[in-house]
Amino acid sequence: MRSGTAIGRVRGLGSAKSGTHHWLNQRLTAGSNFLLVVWLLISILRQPSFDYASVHLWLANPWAAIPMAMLVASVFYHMRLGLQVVIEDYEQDQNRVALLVVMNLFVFTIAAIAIFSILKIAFGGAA
Amino acid sequence: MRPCVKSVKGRLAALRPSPACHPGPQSISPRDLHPVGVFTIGVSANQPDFRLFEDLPLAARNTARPLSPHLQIWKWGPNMLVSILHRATGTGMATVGAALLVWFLAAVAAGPESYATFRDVFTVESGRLNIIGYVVGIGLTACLFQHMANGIRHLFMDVGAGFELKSNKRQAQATIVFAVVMTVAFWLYLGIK
Repeated sequence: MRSGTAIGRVRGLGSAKSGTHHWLNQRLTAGSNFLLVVWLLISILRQPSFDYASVHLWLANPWAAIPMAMLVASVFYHMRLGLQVVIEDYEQDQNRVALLVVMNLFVFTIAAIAIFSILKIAFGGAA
Repeated sequence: MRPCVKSVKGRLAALRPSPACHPGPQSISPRDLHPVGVFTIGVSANQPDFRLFEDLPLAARNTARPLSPHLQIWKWGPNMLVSILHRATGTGMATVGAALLVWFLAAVAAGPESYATFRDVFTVESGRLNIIGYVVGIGLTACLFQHMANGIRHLFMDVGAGFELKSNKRQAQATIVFAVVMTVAFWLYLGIK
């Protein structure tokens, strides 16, 4: 028998009191993802050609560079939240922590490369 | 393995496995059970003795506990299928799709040679898609439309709508129809343009 009262043993257990933020942000980014992905799909369908010159011209235009940067931010954040849930559901203990760190590194790295590339296309002039 | 739950009248019916498929209480010792006994399948007549666990730290995870029923137990239905597909398509897009998008952007940013390298992987000489291009392209768009449709379905369920068994099943089926129709329409439009 452990010492202490029953209330002392359960205090601090229960909900982590931080899940709502995760849940809500996943829903909010789902909404922004929808709008931005519909923009991307329409843009792909309206591309006159997929050769280098036309794709570069398209992405150098602020009307494409800005929504593309927003899409990367929104989709990659949603992705981070989603992958976190998947890892938390299937992995335990040390593996869970290690995979969460690796997943965050992956998402932040590819997000940085994507944003840098968009800025380079937009501000780099004719390549 | 045949599904144990033949007819699902509601959530409670689904959570009650038939005794023929499960070992029952005689094969589970009270030691294997969680002291709180939240999910004590097949042991309702054999409540765990809470006094056995007084000396265990509360946070300890007992790996010998029986697992809750998994994929092979449930009868497959559209709702279960789209739920699993939602996770699979999301994970697929988050890895393959995200890597491809970043590769595409970085290749365009790096210049014509890099973009040509990217393009050559997915296209033939004439500029049309090759087999890899079609598999990856159609695969990713199908994933996207399925995830999108079921995501919208989830937003409705988040506000408490569509939980009746029949309409829930219909909506799950509708997401698959939407994904197939939109994928075909997208590629037809891209092809004839």
